Amino acid sequence: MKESLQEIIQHSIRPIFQIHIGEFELCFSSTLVASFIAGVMFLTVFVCIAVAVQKGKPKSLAIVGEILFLALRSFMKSIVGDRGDQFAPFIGALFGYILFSNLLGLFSPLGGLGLHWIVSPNIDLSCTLALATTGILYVHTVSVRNVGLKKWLHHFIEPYVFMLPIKIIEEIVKPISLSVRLFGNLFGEHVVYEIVFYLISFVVPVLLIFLGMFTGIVQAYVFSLLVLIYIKETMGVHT
Amino acid sequence: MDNVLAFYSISILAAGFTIALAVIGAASAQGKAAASAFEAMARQPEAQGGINSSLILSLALIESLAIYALAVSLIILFANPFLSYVTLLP
Repeated sequence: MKESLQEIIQHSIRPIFQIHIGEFELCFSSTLVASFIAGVMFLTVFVCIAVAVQKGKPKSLAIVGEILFLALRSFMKSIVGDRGDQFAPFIGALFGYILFSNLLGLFSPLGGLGLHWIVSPNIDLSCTLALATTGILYVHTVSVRNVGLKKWLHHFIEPYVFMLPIKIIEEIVKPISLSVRLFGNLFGEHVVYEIVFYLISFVVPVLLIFLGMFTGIVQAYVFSLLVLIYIKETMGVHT
Repeated sequence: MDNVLAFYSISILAAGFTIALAVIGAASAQGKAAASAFEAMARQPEAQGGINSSLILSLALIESLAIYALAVSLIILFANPFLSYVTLLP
């Protein structure tokens, strides 16, 4: 009980190590290190499953890989239709990365042993804003690539011309809403976990971790689903 | 000193009321969505898969409005932008 509860919550994003390059100092925060760890974990699992699917060697992993691929394909088909295969890598990577980030946050009790990078990187608004901005940039790039530059510019003034400021504001609000949704869910979960852990450290946090598991999976699904729906909006009726 | 007390108490009250009011609206909306989803599932049990995923998606979207209010409340409590001006109060 050395730190007060407010300090514990405010120090959930803390610098872990710095790299000095001349006069610049790169500061690696705990969420940045956690995002690297989550990415490496996801990459490892994915590469293992992909190699197993290609070689057919560890049969159980190959079957798991095919189930995941069919699930992703049916998920894309139900939203975008038959042109869904070109977006499958990005949406699958987005879903997997956010899923692994949220699952890393479930190991927060281990952070008490001094490993402060065991948090979900999505408790930092910077990380979620980066994900959301990347997703919206991908949506616009894919729509320009598919329907052409003129049609993409035309869809801003599509029903009426005075909808132009509304559409521009909507394009700015989309990354904000995506990022704040993910951040609010995960940071709120983290704050509740810290409070309960501060009060009763014994068995009760485990129930919270179950709730955190559910909310992490649902938020990853909702994030990737919304990016897919934004892609579908720009595609038009001919898909 | 009295103005500093007023600042702290009003900011804490604001943070509490923000999330409370937002959760009232979000909970009633989610209840209505779930009720109509259950009714549709009872009426047509073979559409359960589609209704299930639509229900989860709409619950998450309605919840995100309460999460916006939670974000504002957390900012007021933990990263209050006017905290540095408290000492300038008369």
